[in-house]
Amino acid sequence: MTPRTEIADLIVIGAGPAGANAALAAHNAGLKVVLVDEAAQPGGQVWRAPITAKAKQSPVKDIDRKMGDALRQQLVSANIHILTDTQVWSADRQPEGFEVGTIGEAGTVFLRAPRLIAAPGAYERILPFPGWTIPGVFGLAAATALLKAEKTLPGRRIIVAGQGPLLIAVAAQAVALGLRPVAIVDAASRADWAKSLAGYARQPRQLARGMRWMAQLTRARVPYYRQHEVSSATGADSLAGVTLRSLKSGETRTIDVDTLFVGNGLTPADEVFRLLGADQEPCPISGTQRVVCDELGRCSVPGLYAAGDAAGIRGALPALHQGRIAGLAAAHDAGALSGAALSAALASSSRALTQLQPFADASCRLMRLSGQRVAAAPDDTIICRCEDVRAGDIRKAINQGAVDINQLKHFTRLGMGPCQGRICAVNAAEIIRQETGAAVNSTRLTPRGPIRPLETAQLIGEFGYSDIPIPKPAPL
Amino acid sequence: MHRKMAARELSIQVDGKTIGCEPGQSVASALLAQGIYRFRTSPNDHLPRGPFCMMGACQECAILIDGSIRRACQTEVAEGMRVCLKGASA
Amino acid sequence: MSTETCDLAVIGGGVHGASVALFAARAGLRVTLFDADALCRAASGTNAGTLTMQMTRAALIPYAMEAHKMWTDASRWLGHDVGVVACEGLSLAFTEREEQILSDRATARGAAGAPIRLITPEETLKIEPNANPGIRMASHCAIDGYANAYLTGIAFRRALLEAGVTIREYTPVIGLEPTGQGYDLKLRDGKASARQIVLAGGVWLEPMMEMLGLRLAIKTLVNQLAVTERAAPLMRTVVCIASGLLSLKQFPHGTVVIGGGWQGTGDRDTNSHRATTESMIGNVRLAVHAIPRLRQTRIVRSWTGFESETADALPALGPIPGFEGAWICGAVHSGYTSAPYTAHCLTQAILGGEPDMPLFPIDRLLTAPLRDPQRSTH
Repeated sequence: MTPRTEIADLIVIGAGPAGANAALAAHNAGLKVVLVDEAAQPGGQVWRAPITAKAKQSPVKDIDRKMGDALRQQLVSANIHILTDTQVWSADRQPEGFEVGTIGEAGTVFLRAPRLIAAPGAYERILPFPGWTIPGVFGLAAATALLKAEKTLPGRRIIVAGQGPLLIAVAAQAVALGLRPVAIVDAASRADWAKSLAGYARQPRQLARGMRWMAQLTRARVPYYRQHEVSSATGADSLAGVTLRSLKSGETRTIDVDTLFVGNGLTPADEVFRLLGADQEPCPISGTQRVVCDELGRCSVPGLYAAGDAAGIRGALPALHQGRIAGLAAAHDAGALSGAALSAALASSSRALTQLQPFADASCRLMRLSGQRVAAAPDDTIICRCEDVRAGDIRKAINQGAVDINQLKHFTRLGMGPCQGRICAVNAAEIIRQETGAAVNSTRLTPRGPIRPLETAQLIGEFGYSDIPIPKPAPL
Repeated sequence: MHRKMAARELSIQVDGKTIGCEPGQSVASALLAQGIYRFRTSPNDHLPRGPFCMMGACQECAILIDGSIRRACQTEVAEGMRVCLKGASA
Repeated sequence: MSTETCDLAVIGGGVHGASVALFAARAGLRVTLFDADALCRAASGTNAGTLTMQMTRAALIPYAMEAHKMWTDASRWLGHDVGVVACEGLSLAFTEREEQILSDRATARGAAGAPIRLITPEETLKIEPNANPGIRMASHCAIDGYANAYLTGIAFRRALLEAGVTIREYTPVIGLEPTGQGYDLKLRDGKASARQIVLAGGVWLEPMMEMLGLRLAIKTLVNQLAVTERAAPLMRTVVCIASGLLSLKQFPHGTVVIGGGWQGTGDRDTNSHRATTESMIGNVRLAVHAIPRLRQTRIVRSWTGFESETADALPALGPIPGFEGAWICGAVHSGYTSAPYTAHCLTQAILGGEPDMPLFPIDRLLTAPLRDPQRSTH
């Protein structure tokens, strides 16, 4: 059996704030849109839908929940064709446009369209430290996913660590669940936060929410370690202790805990863009790379658009507008919207983006992870979790002549495991850069499909031997 | 009262042991709620591993679920689902 | 320093070029090895690593048998690990027509010296219990195995450095000029010179030969592979099918590499290539048909690499006619398997000796010379 193919005017990857709004804008302009997302419900990470009864029943006060519910309602009302629970695993350019391979309940389905908006969001960055692979150490964003979908967090004694506004959000929501953190560990200083305050003040509702959270934490007397980081974690089968280190004095202290949530900012999810060969550039805000696009989201590959954090970390509210803009631009480029209509429709979103930028910048500054901190990982720190490749192995490989990350992969198997380099590559790159002074472009793994590991059974479906198009044998 | 009952109406088998879980929960979350943090060992150094990113990227929670290797954080629990933590990794 | 004359410049740092450079340096020549990228990062580092007789041209079997001995003994002559595993090999037939192909090929390769015999499904399943019980016949070869191709580069790098070879990576040679005493090599920023040269550029042999004004057609195949994540032991042999469109083996660390020459898309001139979803699905289906339990694994990566082939699918191995001290080495279908031995034979000739086995001179392959002999290809 050959896999099914669906044809549309526009494919949108990712049903978060950016992708969903892109789909809505293009659909309303008359394009036939197919929207695809890995999750069971649209909303992305920040506007993630409540899934369990407990999460659904909790009172809807949170702005992210409200925005997410509204978005999900809009998608239903507009009757957008959406494939949920569906992974995107391939993206190809073909003469007539794009082909996107998906896999879901129905098995493998190929989507084809002359235009593609990719809004895959971001991945969390985590500063590796000895012990970060012990069960009980989680990403900070893992906590938000659990809080939003299930209104729960694992653990009895927890630490919330890393950098950026997510620290406060997770810690305060943990307190609200009756799970008072043993410590908040923040790389930033009071002065760093003060610098961001002006930006936050431009979004009074968000600032007020942040202040409420801070007040909750103060009331609960949660110990707050500023200018500290997690320097190691210990435990045999699961987490038992976490050692904190002062970034100022180097002084350490060890705390007994069973659960650690740690996150150090975000990096764009860029697999689709890289597989399609879209130009990348260093992102001055996140310190990693982002896809190059114009103010309408158009990438260097004709017909490909980027929206949301994938085009540079800015957060959910800007993503909404970026998505809408990319959707309108795609509609215009498809001939469904005149230039005048495009300009008129764009005005409000362009204004909003300008207005939201200081807020986004403020968060990004706090979340930015310095390369030096990554490159300082002690030799025994695991960098590639899938293959247990340590910082010392990387340094050894560099000494043996590996000058770029692809050679490093051959020398050490770094990035060859099931996460496909998603977690380790950005950190290994910092070590290479530090040791060799290499340019950013030699610290990128060659893009390889599939975008996610594929269950073989799902990929190939049911088939007979005669369904396999076996080419002619080679000469004897 | 009725609602509270409904909250625990599913059960799954973890290495033959029955555990209760809420509809909609991910397999990862259901196991974490039972205090099960260790899901597998890393294939190279045989170190204990458990869920980490909880959003489908890191693959640390990929275990045998109903005979296939699936990410526990992206798999919704279903009545009678069989989860294998032993021998799931190479 | 860049104008210093070395005894031998090898252009192309794949397994062919690296082997010639290594053997020549060990024989006392001052050798410089040039590669446009890093050592063994093209075909030599990305191929499936199959060391099989079942897919080797009959005429190459004696060379492949010798090379197989070398690969399995790499620690002795190379000094470093390429993850070589020697095991049995099976080629399966699922249809009547494939039975015919299998028996024809087993006969031809057996006659050339490969220990291949036809076996029943029952015997096949004893050797490889997870093979598809629906097979009609298999050919069995006692001499088979695989290397871990991505380790080729680091293994050769160490050996080359120990042998005193000057390695110049990321240094494409963009022009060649005979000087009477040897050759001047034009580089992007400067030049080098050598008494003798070896062209070992795989698919890029064609543009390399153009630098000498010669026309040698090299076919470029874009071979596609896929790999599963680490899995519990599923198989212990190298498994092929009669038509040759499958090669399958499980590495000691558990990953199963699926290959067989399914084609991706690519362009030699821009050195770009990519896997296609169609080939991936076809190749993986064939793999699952051969070893049904592969259905329960996950595919984590697919990739492509160029394979070079001459018009008659036999090596380009020998002197370059009309150019004193210029040699060619490569362009072999399934070349990785035979490379250390064919490179050994060529090195013997370069050193003025008689090769242990005959070379494959390229006079048979050359067509009319180019009009403009010094045309640069870049």
